[in-house]
Amino acid sequence: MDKIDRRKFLKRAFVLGAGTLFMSQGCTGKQQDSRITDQESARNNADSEEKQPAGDAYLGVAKGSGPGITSDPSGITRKAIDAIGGISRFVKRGDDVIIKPNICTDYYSYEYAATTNPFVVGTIVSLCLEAGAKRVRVMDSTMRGSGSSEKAYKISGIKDAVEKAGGIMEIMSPMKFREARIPEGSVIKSWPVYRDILEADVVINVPIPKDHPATELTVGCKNLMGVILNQGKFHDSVLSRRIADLASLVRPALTVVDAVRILIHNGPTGGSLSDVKITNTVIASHDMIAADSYATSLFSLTGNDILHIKHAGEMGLGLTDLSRVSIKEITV
Amino acid sequence: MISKDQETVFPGMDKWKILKKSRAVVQWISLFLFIFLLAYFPRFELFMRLNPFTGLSASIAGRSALIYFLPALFVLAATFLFGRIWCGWICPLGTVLDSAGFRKKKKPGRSRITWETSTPVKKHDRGLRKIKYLLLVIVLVCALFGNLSLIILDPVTIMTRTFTVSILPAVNHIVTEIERYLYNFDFLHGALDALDSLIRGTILPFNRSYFYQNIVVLLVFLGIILLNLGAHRFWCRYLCPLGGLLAFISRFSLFKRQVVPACTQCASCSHACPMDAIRADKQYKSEQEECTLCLDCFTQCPENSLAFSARREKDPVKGVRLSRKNFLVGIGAAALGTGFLKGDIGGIKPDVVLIRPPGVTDEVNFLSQCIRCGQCMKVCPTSGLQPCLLESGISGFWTPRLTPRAGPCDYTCHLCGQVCPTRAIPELTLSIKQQTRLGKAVVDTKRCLEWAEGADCLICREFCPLPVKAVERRERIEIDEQGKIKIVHGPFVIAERCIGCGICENLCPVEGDAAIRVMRKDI
Repeated sequence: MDKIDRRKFLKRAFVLGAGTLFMSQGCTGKQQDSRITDQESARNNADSEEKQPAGDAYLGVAKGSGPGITSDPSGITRKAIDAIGGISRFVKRGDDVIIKPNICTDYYSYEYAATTNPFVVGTIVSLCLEAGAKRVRVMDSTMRGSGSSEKAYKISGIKDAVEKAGGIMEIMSPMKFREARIPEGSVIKSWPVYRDILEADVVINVPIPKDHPATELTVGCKNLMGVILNQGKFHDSVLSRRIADLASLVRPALTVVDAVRILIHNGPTGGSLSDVKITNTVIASHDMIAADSYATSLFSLTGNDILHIKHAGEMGLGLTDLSRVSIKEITV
Repeated sequence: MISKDQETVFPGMDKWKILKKSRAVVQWISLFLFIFLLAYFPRFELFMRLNPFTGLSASIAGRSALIYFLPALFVLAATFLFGRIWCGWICPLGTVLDSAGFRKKKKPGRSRITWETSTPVKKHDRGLRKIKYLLLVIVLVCALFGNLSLIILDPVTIMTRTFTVSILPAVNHIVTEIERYLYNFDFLHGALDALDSLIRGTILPFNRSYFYQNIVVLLVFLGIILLNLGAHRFWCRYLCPLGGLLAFISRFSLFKRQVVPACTQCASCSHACPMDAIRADKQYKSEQEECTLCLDCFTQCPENSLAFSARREKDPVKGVRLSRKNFLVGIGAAALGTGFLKGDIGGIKPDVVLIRPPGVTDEVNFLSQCIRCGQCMKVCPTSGLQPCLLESGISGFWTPRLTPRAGPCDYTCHLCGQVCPTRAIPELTLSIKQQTRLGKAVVDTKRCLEWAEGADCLICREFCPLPVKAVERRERIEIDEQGKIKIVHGPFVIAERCIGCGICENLCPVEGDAAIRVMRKDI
């Protein structure tokens, strides 16, 4: 009796499994399409001022007072996010959240401003969990891929801070990148992108503004290059346009720029404390382009001075003209 | 009378059976410990340290007694007591060869026969057994001349190299490729993600390693196993120089296998002996040098007429020995060989892209210290250290070189110097290593994306780990075919700053050879 039951079960399981397998193989192309459109519709990002809730600032900027590191990075991070309506505006109960800091190298600790401040990242993890997020993962693809990520996570101090806050450090597996269509792309129409970044409920971009040899500056848009495959091949004579195209596909719900320290020379990998400027600032916005533009002012530039930010602005991905938006500046 | 006999016989037989079983257990534990240590704790490489042959050769060639090999004294002491116990009980390669038997299965009612008496191997058995001694003499005399090229024949280095370069990476590749295939099915994603996070960083490393000559190294290893077709443990009987050294010492070992008068000359033991060390023509006494203490003869003996004892024998069996002539031939071959190798220009003018591991300064010294074990390649986190082919001539075969295209010298790593058994790669502190020059990066402006195509790239500068970047963007005026003046830009290496770590060469997005390459520093 028992034996027959098991056999029956196995038979059904086999038929069901084979069916699913067949279906999934048979309509791979179609399915991929539907997945991409799903992601497009799932973007909970406000592109323009209309979607801005009344009363909250478009751009929240919190600064620590005085020279040197006097204030705590966690405090100004909370203040900046509160200024634009608090984390609950972006993270809902049960959301699957991915935080994307900049952990590009394993050369130096965070004091050298080559990687995002661990306390800023840790604070955002805590905020997301407080808002009821189901899971908060933190990830970035380090220069040589998954092989060096473990060390980079550790040396940057981010692993420690994230795990203390209850988040998960995920090493980006090379097997999880998928060719994604970029419908609005002006120079690239598709590129392999990390699957989970496209599938997550909320993506929070936490860049650190740094000097960069190819794009002059790297902030939020450029930070998105950490979620794609073949970063080397991405570089060409229209790199700036490509970065803007990428920003049209991957649209973080929230961008928190960690400008506690910024790297003004020898970026983006740095290595000398004399190249680090302490600015004690955290910038938060739903508009990555506006946040980037504000960050350029720390280098005495404007968003339009940086080609890829300018292109992204022209594509309607965000605002580079900060005179048109409400900025709430808080000094702690 | 008979029953009394049986009473005394059977408990005795049991003792040998238990010992024989424990030998198998010890062998397998030893093999797995070897693989386990190599895969997960490469810095605690016990087996390399236990090896008196590499210890001796490296000490001779490097002109210094190496404390690293102190544990090898245990093996020497054990050999002085019991003979080739290393070969039969501990040697990881020996275990592999024992398990890859190719021996005829024992048929019921018949004793085990190791091979047909007419095979050419059997015919030349006596002469072949000399080879291991000859190789030992050649390696040691070469070491005297400062050459260690033939140390690649040491069994522990063979095992270390094969597992580092070939087998362990292959395990990772196979698992990863299966995972990659299964990732095509969306409904498996959850399970695969869970599996992946479980095994990566624990059982398997996060990154996959790739090695030049991984197939060559594997084929050599398989070749050694296939030699078993000629005779069981062909390698150990005839070729292994470590076996040769231990066999030589076994002549003087304290405890020997001895045949007691109860022997009925039934020949069970000589049929059972996998090494054919038992001489039917000498009252079934054994050649101590060829015995690996496997105890097969003890368990097969129906009369219980064998013993291990320190008692002096009246008429011991003399095993195969090198004649004086053979010995001189060995010395001559070594001298001639090293002489000819001195004429190899590769040894004086190494390939321009031959970059040695950090801290190695003198190529000649390096070649006489490196034992080609591959430990540095195992620990290198980027698998940038690769086995040489002929970049430093024949004598540099399978020595490590940094190939930045495969993997750069990790700025925050100094492991290779810590694991090198002979200090051929010096042990450097991290801050010293970060200032140690391995070579110098050179830009190929004809292929560089910036110089040749006007792209915005400069990845070479982007990832330069130095506090003051060794790569800067420069501009240059060029006149094109129409006579128009244009300004081109691209990376420029400031030679005094560059340490030659090769991250620029590794990450350069140009297809094939990078447009920025690390070259030897003295050029």
